[in-house]
Amino acid sequence: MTEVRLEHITKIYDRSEVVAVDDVSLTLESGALTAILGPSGCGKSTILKMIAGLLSPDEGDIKFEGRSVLKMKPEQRSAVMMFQDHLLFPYMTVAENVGFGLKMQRQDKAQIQKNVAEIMERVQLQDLGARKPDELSGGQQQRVALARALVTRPKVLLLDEPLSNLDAHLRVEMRELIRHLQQDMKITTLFVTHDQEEAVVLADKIALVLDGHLEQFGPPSEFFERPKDKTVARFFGGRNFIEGMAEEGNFSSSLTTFTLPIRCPSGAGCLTFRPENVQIGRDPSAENSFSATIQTKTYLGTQTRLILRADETELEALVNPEAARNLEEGMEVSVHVPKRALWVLP
Amino acid sequence: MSGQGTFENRKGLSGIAWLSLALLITWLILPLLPLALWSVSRSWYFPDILPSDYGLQAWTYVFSDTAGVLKALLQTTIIALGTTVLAALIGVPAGRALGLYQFKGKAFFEILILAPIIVPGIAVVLGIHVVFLKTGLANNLAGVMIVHLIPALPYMVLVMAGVFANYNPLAEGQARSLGANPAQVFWYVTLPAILPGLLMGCFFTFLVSWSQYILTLVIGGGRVVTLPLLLFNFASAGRNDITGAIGILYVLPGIIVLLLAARHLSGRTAAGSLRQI
Repeated sequence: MTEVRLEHITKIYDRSEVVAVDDVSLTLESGALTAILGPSGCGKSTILKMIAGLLSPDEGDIKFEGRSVLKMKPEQRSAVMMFQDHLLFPYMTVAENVGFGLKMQRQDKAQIQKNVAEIMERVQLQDLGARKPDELSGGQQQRVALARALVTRPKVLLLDEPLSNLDAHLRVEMRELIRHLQQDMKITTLFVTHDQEEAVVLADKIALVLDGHLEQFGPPSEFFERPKDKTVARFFGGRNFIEGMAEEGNFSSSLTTFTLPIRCPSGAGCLTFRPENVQIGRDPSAENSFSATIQTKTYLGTQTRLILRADETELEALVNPEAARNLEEGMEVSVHVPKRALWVLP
Repeated sequence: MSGQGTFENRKGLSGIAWLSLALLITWLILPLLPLALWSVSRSWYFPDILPSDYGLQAWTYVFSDTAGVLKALLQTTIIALGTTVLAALIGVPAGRALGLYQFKGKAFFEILILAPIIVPGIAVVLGIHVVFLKTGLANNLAGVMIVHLIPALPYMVLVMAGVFANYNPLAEGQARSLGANPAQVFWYVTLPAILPGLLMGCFFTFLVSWSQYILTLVIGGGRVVTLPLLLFNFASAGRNDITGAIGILYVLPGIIVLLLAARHLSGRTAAGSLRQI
């Protein structure tokens, strides 16, 4: 159980002079799985490598259990990385690969064998120990890499897009295995991904990083219900933004005056709500309702997407296909957004 | 190219294989025949196609204590091994720098490393000799090994640069984070990955050192006598039978290396497979 704290971490790459990581502060709770979410090339992997000790930050401090690890070498930190490419050692057998970390610690052979056998069983690879890595499937190789990372019982597990080379159903399987083992062994884990769904499903907390900046840090639901700004809202699929002014629990806009939930801030801003919280066909005079025209209607299977136009504002609604049965493009409808679904952005 | 295309080319390739085998025999094996014949001939004069009398006097002489051939063989081996070790110590880090990293003046360094292959050794060795005389490196084995690095090192560096161009250094980071210290990383991760290439580089270096004449002659100052030096002595003295016998000894490591290298060249290198995964 190790709490990892990043304090004002900054990393500038010499050659490009690009600020890869810009003043990031982050606390990884002990035993929790934190996801760093962001598009590729936003500095996510750089953060991971700095925690592992493969890179050193230009500014800031990294602390495990309150003690700085910046002076510690990678092999002393007990922070194991697992990469997108599994990076198994091709000239070693699967069992030798898994036992690598223990061998480096100079454990005796019998002990290594016992630990390797145990972890191999937990990743369901007990029969493949004698094979060479290139005789395994992609999913198996990734499980070997996971076993190799976990066998030393590291304080911190650092996963760098470990699922992105796998196909869809293997990805879900591997995701669940990682979550299961991580919770079972209570290892503080940092998981880097560009896949929003992966982060939401896996993580206890998400750190959204864009261009080296930490945009927002919190549990997954916060990113949907209370995004920090338009950028964050857009990243999580937010499409509905209405300009206006928030005052004393009301938001006045050209469409209508909305009644806000209590926690919303005041001032000029932008009203937002999730497409899936939009309701169609209620009484237009009711609270938080306005009229709009249906521009397009797209059947998505489990949901139907409506693109609505109200004044000059384009809005998106995701509704139950059954409820959308009678709706047609060009129709004028009444749009209602429940009070609890509203949120105001600066 | 598609897989099918390669299959269709199979027949053509085997024709090329036969041709190269024939060329290999013509260039490598046939020239050795007269050498072997000379070494066992007692008299062989124009216009005879074969020797008129055979005998083992050349071989007896070569293996006798007075000839100094065995001592020369030993010295040549020590020098070639020493040069190879030195070249590996310098060539592995240099090849890594050239193969893996981008840095200012890289193109210049690449040309500088190739320079000894382009500039003949005789052009620089006299100047080096003066320096070596002053520093005590002339007329001894160490000096000869160092001067052999001039023609040998480019081969080692170029081979290792090629190896490291196909090497994924992230594997080392992975090993570090799994708890390996830098020495363990080199022994368990880097070395196995570069070993096939490193062996090739060592073979080249060994052979280049083995075949040096001018550099050994000048820097060794007659104190360090290697096989090529003896070979030239006997050849210019007209002792074709002894020249033949020493010649056979002289080409032996080349043939052994060729056989060893053929095995490694045909196989996929470990560095390559680490990259491919």
